[in-house]
Amino acid sequence: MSSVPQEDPLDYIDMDDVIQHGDPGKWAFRGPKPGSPVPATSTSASPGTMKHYDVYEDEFGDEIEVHYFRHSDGTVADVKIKPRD
Amino acid sequence: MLATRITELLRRLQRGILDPADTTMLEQTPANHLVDELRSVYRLTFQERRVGRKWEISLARSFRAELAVRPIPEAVFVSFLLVPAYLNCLMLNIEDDYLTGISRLTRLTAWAASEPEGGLVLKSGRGFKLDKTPDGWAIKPMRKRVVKLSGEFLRMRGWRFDHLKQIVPIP
Repeated sequence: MSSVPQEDPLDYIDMDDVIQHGDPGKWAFRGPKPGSPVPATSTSASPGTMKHYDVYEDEFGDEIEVHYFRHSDGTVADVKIKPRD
Repeated sequence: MLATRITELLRRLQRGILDPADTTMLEQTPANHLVDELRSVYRLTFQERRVGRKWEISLARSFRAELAVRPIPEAVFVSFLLVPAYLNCLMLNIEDDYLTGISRLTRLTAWAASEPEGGLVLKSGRGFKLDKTPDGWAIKPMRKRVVKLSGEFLRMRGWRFDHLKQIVPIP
């Protein structure tokens, strides 16, 4: 078990996406997308950074994906919403 | 020069066009320069929040009260409400002083939600968002939406109620 505090990516959802999908606190977590997380391969990514793709159901009943980086210190970055594939 | 490039970006964003020149410009221009330039035209700030390395700021070009019709349950009459409307909105998302998202909405209206939850009902117009995802830049349509958000949530998100209070009572 990791003892590093983990930031919640939902705290970082953009306000415009809140208006599109409702209060993130009311979304239902459906689990990680198959294959997620994967190591981030970008040259700017710090060692140990993972790329996550999580699936949620938003307040309107639509399935969405939350994409983000999680660094080894538990912080998250580039938290973005994508409609479900 | 920056003003011209931003104007071109906003024109393309209005039509949902992703242009690599825009994303290159966003990756090379410190966000505070962009925000200063945008604030000279989009003068009203209705939301602002800093969390971790992130800075969110929502701007509007103008703000006015509009008359909205609301049906009264089991009555033949309707009621009229004065509804605050933010017109020509930009919602910006910034990380590490570089812009990672910009959406342009035609309008955003707000009215007080009924008790007991309180808060606001927000109705957004159509628009587009240019977003820097972990897999690169993408453009996505923003749909018309009606969403109810609690006062506590909006306060945590840095929603500015000061100008709204001139028009709607906030529980």
